[in-house]
Amino acid sequence: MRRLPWRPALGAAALAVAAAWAIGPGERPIRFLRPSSSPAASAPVPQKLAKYASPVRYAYVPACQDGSGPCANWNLVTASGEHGWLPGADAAGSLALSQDGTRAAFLRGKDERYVVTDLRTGKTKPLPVRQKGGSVTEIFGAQPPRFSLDGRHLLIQLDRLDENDDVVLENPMVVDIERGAVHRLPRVDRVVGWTNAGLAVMTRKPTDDLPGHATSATFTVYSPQGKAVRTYTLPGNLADGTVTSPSGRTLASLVREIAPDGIADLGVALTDTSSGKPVRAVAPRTPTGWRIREILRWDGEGALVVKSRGPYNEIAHHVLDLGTGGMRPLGIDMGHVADLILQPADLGVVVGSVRQ
Amino acid sequence: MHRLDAERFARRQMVDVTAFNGYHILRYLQVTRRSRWMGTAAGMTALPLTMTSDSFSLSPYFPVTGWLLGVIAGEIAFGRAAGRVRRPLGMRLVPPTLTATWTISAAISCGLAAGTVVRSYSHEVGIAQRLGAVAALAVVVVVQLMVSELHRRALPAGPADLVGAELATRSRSARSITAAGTTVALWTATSVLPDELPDNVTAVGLLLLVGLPTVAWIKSADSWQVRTSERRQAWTPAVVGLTLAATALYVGATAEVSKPAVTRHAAPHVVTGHDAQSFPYAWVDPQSHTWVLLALGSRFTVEGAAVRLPGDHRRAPFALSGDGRRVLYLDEETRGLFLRDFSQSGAPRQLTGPLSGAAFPDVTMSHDGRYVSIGAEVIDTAAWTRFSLPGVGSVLGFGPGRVVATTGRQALPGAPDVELLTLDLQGAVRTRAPFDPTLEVLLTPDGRGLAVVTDDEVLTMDPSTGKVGERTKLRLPARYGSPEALSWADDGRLLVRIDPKEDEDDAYHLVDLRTGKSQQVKGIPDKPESMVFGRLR
Repeated sequence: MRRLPWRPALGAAALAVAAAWAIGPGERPIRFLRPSSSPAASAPVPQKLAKYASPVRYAYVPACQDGSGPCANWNLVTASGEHGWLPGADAAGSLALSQDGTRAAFLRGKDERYVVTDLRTGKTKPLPVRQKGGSVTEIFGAQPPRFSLDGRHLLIQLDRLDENDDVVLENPMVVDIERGAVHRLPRVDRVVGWTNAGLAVMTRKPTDDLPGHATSATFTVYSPQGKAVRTYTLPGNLADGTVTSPSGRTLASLVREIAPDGIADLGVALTDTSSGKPVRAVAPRTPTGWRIREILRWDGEGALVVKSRGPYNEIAHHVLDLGTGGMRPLGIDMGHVADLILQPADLGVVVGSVRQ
Repeated sequence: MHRLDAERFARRQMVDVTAFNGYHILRYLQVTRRSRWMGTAAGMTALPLTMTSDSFSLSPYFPVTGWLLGVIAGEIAFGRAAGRVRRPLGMRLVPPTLTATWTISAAISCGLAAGTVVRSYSHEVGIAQRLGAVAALAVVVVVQLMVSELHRRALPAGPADLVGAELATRSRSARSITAAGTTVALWTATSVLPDELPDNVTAVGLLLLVGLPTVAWIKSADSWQVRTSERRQAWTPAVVGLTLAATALYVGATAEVSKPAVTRHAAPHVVTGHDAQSFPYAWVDPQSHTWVLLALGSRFTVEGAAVRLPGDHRRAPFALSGDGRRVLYLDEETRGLFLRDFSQSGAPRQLTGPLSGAAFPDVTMSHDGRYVSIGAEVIDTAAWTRFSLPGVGSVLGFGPGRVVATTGRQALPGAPDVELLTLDLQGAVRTRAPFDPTLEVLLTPDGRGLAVVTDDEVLTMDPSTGKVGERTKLRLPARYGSPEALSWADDGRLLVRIDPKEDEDDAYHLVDLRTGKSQQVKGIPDKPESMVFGRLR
């Protein structure tokens, strides 16, 4: 009986093990946590839908990338669970939802025209504003359209690239959706948001008259017809990062200090727009490890819609009760939202109706 | 020539060359000598690999390794009689001392290699170290197999002088392989260790690295006659070998886990002979992960200074006075804050006990380094007195007889106003003014004014009133975001860092506050998160 060549076999095995160990990975592979466990692939495929029975809770850029209708367009989800994709609402562009969740506005790709879809009837109305060549998109600094609080007007701020490829925002426009009338506003540094009286915008300028400050911010509220109805000036530190309340009386902002070991969250500050003085501070009761990263808008005079980040950098949306500091989750499933370099999950969700 | 070689061989192996074994010996010498020379020559050609850019020293590692490979190749090429006996011949081919050195070397090499394998499952081990471990094990295995084979090959049938010559050639090969194997295994195994080791390990290691090979080569070259091996108890070498292997395994497994012991209050080696030294900046060296002070092309390590917070990735507190002569750092061992004064000899002074908790305080030093603020407490390091600053959130700096501070820290846009305070050196508030906490400010070296840098301007501000003084347009290259105010130069210009749009190396500039003109500063690493600035010339 022939003997097995065990010595060469043993040598070869030892060599293979040694080679595998020597050129193998240095440490155990890192496992990345994704808090939303539901994989996008297993999500139910939404139907093409422009008409919804109940108000839309939120819209999102889908994670799937196969170029089909559900993957190439914004997906809408209502409070009652309806789930559809909005035809013509290219997921690569911006989308706006009215606060009551019954209207959507977006730049239609085929004719580069802004349109508004009535989500109760499914009818789409083109607006007399075109963005030729398309928008540079929000990630590069474009201003997405915004519905007025009653949903009857739309802010549009066109954008373009200058000769240095820097993004230039044109003068903001307010469009009357029903009549199609367009009112062009003066040049501004920032669109602050809608109030009941109209659109609040901000311009910043150097000042030597305000001790301890280098700049001041002038806030102007323009009526939908383009008339300045209110103006107030605040210190330059409130120029950015502030969101105006529906009444226009209060500005909300996050207070974040730069500590030696990172950013320290000190809650939400409410500033009286007539005096520029802080009215009060709110300490949100965020879950452990969660921090509010952005105030999206007000919900009435007593609550804020906020975007939060969790301990593993996961994203969630809440309604912050300014009276109690309580945080009500909006139940937005981030597991189906695209998270790509040019389509980050941070910009992939638009909140509509948050009323229960 | 062959005759001389044969005579030397006969003398060293203590064997007689006769008509019956002469051809055998000569053929052996011819084959092995050629292989050995070829191996050594190959090793010599690899010699430049041992030279480094900053060193012209030559290591004998490759020539010795080549020689070992040549010996092995010669033994294979010589082609001894086929056939293997079940048990060793019972002959002693290698002197006991040489066997002992080989045992020690093999045990240490195997232990270090095994320790590296263990370490690789908990820490990152580079491919060079992995290959070193595999090579060390391979050398041990090959040498052991070769020597074992020489002991087990069947002897040729023939006259006694032919058998004696065969044994003599085997002894010569076994001794050469063992001596070279002792050296190569040990030197290869040390490649798995990091460059910096504790002093005691380094001393013992050097002794072994030089001592064992020296003994092995001497014993290999000695005259030795093959003799029968008497029965010995095997447990003594086994215990010694296992003990050495276990020790080496521990050293290999913990080589990078345990760091060299830090000498308490060890003075940074910058002090000696550098009393007048001042440093423009300090940074966390990415190679050594230590705080390094840089001046006039020189680098000095601040020994004991923690780079990261305990159990955290965030940077540990570290400050350099505006005149570049004093450094404040978190001691790696005690977790207390220490002050090191380069203008004086002596050990660093401990300013605090161990710091703990999630929040570490802001640390600030006066321009001359006399006053140190730690959170809302100030220490006068000349009088060694302390006072607290009630209501202060951040200290901006120190002026003549006063502290300039704010009631909150620097903040992101959207934060409401805080107050700009000046306090006397007892901690009493002297003046208050509203203040924008999002401003990028730096107190002037004399402490009398604040420089404020905005997106496109630089302006001055009175710390007592908050009143804005001169305002100048910044003349800096195209950039993203706002410039960052870092430090002052001797000529009164402000050092700023920008995020340039065009040239990445265009980050640091000195700005004239009166004209706004800027001058690029070259040679500063663009690692803002790892840098602290002192005095620029």
